[in-house]
Amino acid sequence: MLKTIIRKELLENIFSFRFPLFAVLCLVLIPLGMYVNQAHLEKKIRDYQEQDRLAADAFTKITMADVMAGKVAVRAFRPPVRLSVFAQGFESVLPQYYEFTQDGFTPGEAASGDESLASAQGKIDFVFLVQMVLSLIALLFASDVIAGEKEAGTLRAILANNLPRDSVLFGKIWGGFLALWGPFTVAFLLGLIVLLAVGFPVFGGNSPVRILTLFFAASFFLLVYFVIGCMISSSFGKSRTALVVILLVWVSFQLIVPKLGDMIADLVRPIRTETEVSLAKSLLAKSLDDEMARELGRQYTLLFPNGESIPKKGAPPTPEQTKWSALEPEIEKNARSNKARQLGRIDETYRQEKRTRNSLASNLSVLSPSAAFGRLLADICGTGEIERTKYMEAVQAYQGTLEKAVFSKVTKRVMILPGGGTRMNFATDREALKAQPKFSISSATPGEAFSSNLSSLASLLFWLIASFAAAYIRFRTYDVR
Amino acid sequence: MLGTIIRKEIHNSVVSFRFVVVFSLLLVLVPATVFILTNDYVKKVDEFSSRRQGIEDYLKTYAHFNRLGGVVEPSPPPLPATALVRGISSDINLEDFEDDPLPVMFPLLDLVFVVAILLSLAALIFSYDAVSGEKEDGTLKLMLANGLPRHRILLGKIFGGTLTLFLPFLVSMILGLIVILVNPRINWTGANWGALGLVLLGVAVYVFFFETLGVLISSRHHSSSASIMTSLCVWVLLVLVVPNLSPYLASLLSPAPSRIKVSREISRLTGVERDNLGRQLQTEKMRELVKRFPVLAAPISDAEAKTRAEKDPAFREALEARTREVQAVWQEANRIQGEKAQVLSTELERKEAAQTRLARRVSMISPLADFTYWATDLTSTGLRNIAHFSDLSDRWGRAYTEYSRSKIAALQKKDPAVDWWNTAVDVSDMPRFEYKEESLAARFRSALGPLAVLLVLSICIFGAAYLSFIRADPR
Amino acid sequence: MSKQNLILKADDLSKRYEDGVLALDHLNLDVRAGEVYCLLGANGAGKTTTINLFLNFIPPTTGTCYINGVDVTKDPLEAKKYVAFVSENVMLYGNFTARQNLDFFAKLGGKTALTKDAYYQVMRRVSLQEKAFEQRVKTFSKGMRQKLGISIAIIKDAPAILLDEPTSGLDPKAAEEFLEILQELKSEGKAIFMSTHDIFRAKEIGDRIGIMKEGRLVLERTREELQFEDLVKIYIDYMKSEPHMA
Repeated sequence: MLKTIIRKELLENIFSFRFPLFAVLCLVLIPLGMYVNQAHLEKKIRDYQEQDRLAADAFTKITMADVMAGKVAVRAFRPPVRLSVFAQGFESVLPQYYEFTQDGFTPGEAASGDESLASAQGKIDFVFLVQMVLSLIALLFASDVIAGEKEAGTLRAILANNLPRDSVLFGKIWGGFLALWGPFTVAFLLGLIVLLAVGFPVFGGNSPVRILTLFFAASFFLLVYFVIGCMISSSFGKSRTALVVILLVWVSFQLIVPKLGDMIADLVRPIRTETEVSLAKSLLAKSLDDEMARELGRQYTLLFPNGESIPKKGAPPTPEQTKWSALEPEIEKNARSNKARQLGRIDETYRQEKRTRNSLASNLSVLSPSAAFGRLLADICGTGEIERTKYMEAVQAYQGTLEKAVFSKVTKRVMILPGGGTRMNFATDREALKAQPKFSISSATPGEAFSSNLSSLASLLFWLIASFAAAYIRFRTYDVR
Repeated sequence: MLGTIIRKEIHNSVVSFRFVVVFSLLLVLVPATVFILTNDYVKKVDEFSSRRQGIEDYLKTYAHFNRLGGVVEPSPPPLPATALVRGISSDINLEDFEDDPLPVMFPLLDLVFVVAILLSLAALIFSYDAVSGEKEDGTLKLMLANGLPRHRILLGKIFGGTLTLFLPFLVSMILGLIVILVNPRINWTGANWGALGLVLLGVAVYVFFFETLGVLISSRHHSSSASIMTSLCVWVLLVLVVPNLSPYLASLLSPAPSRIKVSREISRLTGVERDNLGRQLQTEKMRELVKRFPVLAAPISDAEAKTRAEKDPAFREALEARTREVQAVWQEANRIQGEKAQVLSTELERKEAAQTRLARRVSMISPLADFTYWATDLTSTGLRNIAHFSDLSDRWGRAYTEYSRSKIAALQKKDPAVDWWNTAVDVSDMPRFEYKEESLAARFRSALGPLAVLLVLSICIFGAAYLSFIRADPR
Repeated sequence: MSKQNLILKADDLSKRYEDGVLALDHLNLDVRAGEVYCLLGANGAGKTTTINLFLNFIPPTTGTCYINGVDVTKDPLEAKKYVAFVSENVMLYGNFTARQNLDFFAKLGGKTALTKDAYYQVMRRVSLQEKAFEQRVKTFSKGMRQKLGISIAIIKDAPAILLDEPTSGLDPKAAEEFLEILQELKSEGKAIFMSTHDIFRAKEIGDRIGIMKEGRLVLERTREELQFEDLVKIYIDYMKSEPHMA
C-alpha cells in the first residue's frame, strides 16, 4: 500500500510540468557551477605556485644588512583548497598571504583584491545552488503535497479506502522526495564527471570521503526542506496559502535568520573592531619601545658620561663596562617581557570578547537550517571556520619559526639619550640563513568538521524531526473535504 | 473603467493572506533594518573619529617618515547614506571581514536587499495567478463577457499590483525614515534626500518589472501551480544566478592576463633585461668614447683617474664626458625598459577594466543588478564611489609624497647629520586626507545607465505580456 | 427487515459544525444489499454531510454509522473496505491515463493482482471509448470522468457504493448509460446510496427515496408507494412548507 502511494507520487511528479523544468535547472546549473569553479581554482593554483616560488627566491636573497635595516619582509602564501570547487566559503576573502616582519605579521590581499572587482562577487558554487536554489524548489514541490491534493479532490478519493493516514503521509513524503532527489543525484554525478574530465583529482587524498559526505549532507538538507514544506502544506487547506507561507519561511531561513543572529550578537555583545585593537596595540608597543630606549639611554649616560661603553682593543673591560654588559640585556629583557605581557593581555581580552560574540552569533544563526548546512559544508570542504582558525594558528606559529630562523639573527638596540640623540647598536648571529622554512596549514579531517559543527547537525536534525512530527500530527486531523 | 479595475485589483489583493504577510514583514523588517544600520553607522563614525584622533596623537610624538606612510593611509569615512544602504564596500574591506565573516556567506540586510530580494519575490507572489487564477476561478471569462477590453484588464492588473506592493513599502520606508530623523547623530543633507527620492523611483520601476513579469508568466499557463513554478524558476535565474554568473562569463569572453604573470614580466623587464640592455649600450658607448677620447682606452683605477684628472684638464674632460654619457646610457636603458613595462601594465589595466565592464554589462540582464547599481551609485556606496575614493587618495598620495620629499630636504639642509627618516618630526603642516562625496548630479549621470536598462527590460516584458494576454485563451 | 443484508446504516446520526450550524438532525436510514436508495434535497440540506460521515471524513456529533456492520468511527479502516465512493466531480490524476488512475485506485482498494486486460474489461463495461483507455485524464469530458469514476468503484468490488450527485452535468444519453450501470450493479447485490437533485432519475432507479430538508429526513417512500403519488409535487411542496415527519 505504501509502495503504491510512493510510486504514484513519484510518477505524478515526473509527469507534471515542474519536473522537467527542475531537472533542466539542476542538470545545467550544478555541473556548470562545478566547472566554473574548477577553472577558477586552476588559475588560483597556478598563481599560488608562482607566488610561492618567487617568495622562496626572494628569501634566498635576504642579507644580514637587510635584517639589520629592518627591511626584511617574508611572505608566506596560503595554498588554495581544492574542494573549494564545491564550497567557496571564505576562500576568496581569506588573505592570500601574510607578510612577516620582525614587528609582527600583517595580512596580505585577499583573492578578491587580486582579480577584477566583479569576479569577487560571483558565487555559483555547489553549496550556493543547494542552499539557495534547490531549497526553494524543494519547498515549492512540497507546497501542494497535501493542500494541492485536497484541492484537486483526490485526497478524498485516496482516503475513501482502507489506508491509514500515516501511510499516505509517509508515501507522499518519500515519493515526492525521490522525485527531487533523482535529478539532483544525476546532476551531481554529471558534475563529478565534468570535474574528472578537466583533471580535478576527484579520487585524490581524502577527497572521495569528503565528496561523498557533502553529497549526503546535501541530500539530507533537501529532505529537511522538503519535509518542512510538507508540514506547511498539511497546515493549510489551500495550496496558495501554503505557498505564501513557504516563501516566507524560505526568506526567513535563508536571508533573515542568519544575519539576524549576527546582529543580535552585536547588540548583546558588542566588540571593538580589529583595527581599533591593533592600533591600540601598535601605539602601546611603540611607546613601550621608546620607553625602553629612553631607559637604556638614561642608564647608559649614568654609567658612561663620556660615552665609552666598548672596551678598547686588548684592554680588559672596566667595571662600568662589565656592569653595562650585564645591565643592558637585563633592561631589555624586562622591557620585552613587560611589553609581551601587556600586549598579550590586550590580545587575550580581545580574543575572549570575539569568541563569546562569535559563538553567540553562530549559535543563533544555525537556527536556520540553511546557515547550519552552509557552515557544515564549508568545514567539510576546508573553506570554513575551522580553516580560518587553523590559518591563524599556522601564521602565529610561523612568526615564531621566523623569529628563530631570521629575525633573532640580528638584534637592534635603540637608545634614546636624555640629551636628545639616538644611538643604535647591532648584534648579529653569523650563521647564514638557510632556505625559507615551510609554511603549512594543517587541514581538518571530516571528523573534526563534524565535531565542531554539532550545533549545525543538531539544527538540521531538529528541523527534520520537528517538521515531520508536526506534519504527522496535522495530517491526522486534516480536513479532506 | 481602468480605475474600477485597478481598484478591484487592489481590493482583491489587500484582503488576501499574502498581502497581510508581506505587509507585516515589511513593517517589521524595514524599520528594524534601518535601526540596526543606524546603530552601525554611529558606531563606525565614533570609531572613525577616535581612530583619527589616535592617529593625530600618534603623529605628535612618533612621526617618523619611515613609518608614517602606513599610518596615515586614507580610509573611507562612513557615509550617512549607510543608514539605509550598506553597499558593496564590506566585501572588499578586509578589516570588516575580520570582525564579521558572515556577510561572506549570506547577503547583508539593508534597503537594497529588502527591495531587491523581498519585493521582487513578493511581486511575483502577487502576480503569478493574475491571469491563470482568474481563469481557474472562471472570473476571467466573466470580465471578458462583459465587454471589458483586454488591454484595460492587463493595465489594471499590472498597475493595481504595483501599487498594492509599492504603497505598503512606502509606509514601511516612512517608519524607517522616522528612525533616521529621530537620531540626532545622523545628518542627512539635501543631496542625501535627493538620492533617496531617486532610489525610490528605482524601486517603483523594479516592482513594476516583476509585476509585469508575473502577469506575463501567468498568461502563458493554464494552472496557477505551473505558473508559480515557472515564476520562481525565472526569479532564481534573474536574481540569484545571472548576477553571480556574469563575472565568470566575462572572464571567459574577455580574458585578462594573470596579474602575477604580468608583474613577473615587468620585474624581469626592469631588472635582468634592463641590466643586459644597459651593459650592451654601455659597451657601445664606451667604444664611441674611446674613439673620441683615446686616453680612455687604457684601463685605470678610480684613484689614479682622480689624481690624473686633477692634473690633466684634457683627461678630466674625457672623464667627465664618460661619467655623463654612461649615466645617460643607463637612463636610456631605464627609459626603454620602463616604457615596455608601462605598455604591459597599461595593457593589463585596460583588459581588466574591459572585463569588469563586460561583467557589469552582462549582469545588467538581471534587474537585481540594475537596481543595485542604481541604488548604490546614487548613495555613494557602490563601485563608482570606490573608484572616486581611489582617485581622491591617489591625489592625496601625490601631495603627501611631495610634502615628505620637500620636508625631508628642508630638514636635511638644516641638519645633515641626522637621519631624518627615522626621527620624530613635527608634521602639523602635513596635508590631511579629506573625503568629499561626488555631486548628486555626477552620481545620477553615472547611475542612469542601469536604470535605463531596467526601464527597457520592463518595457519589453510589458510588450510581451500585452501580446500574450491579448491572445490568451480565457477558458 | 432481515439484518444480514443491511449494508449501510445511519443510527440517530447528528452533526453540528464548529460554527453552530446543525447540518444533520437525528438521521436514521438504512440501505440493503441489492437496493438503490436515492436521497433528494436542496443544496445545504445535509446530503453531502451524510456521505462525509459515512466515509469518516468528519466525526458525528451523536449517533453512529455502520458499513457492513462495522462502526465507522470505531474502526474506520475496516469499514472503508466495504464501501466505494464516486464523488460529484470525479477527482482523478490529470497527468495519468485512465488505466493508470484505475490501477492506482484498484491497488488502494486492495486489488493488487489485476492485469491490464481486467482494467480494459471494466472500462469497456462502463462504455468508455477504447481510445481513451491510454489517454491522459485531463483531456476527458465530464461524462468520461464519471464513467471512469464508476469503473473505479466497480473494480473495488465493495458491497456498498456511495455516489454524490452522479448525474449532475451529464447529458441525457450519458445519464441513461450511467443508470444502466447502476442497475447492473444493483442486480449484482450491491447496496447503492445516491444523493441527487434529479427527481426524474431518482424515481426511475430508486427502490427507496428519501427527502432531506435542513438536516432532517422529512419523507421516505418506497417505489411501490410512489406509483400512486406524484413525487415531483411532494418534493416541491416539502421544499416550500414547514417540515414535519411523514
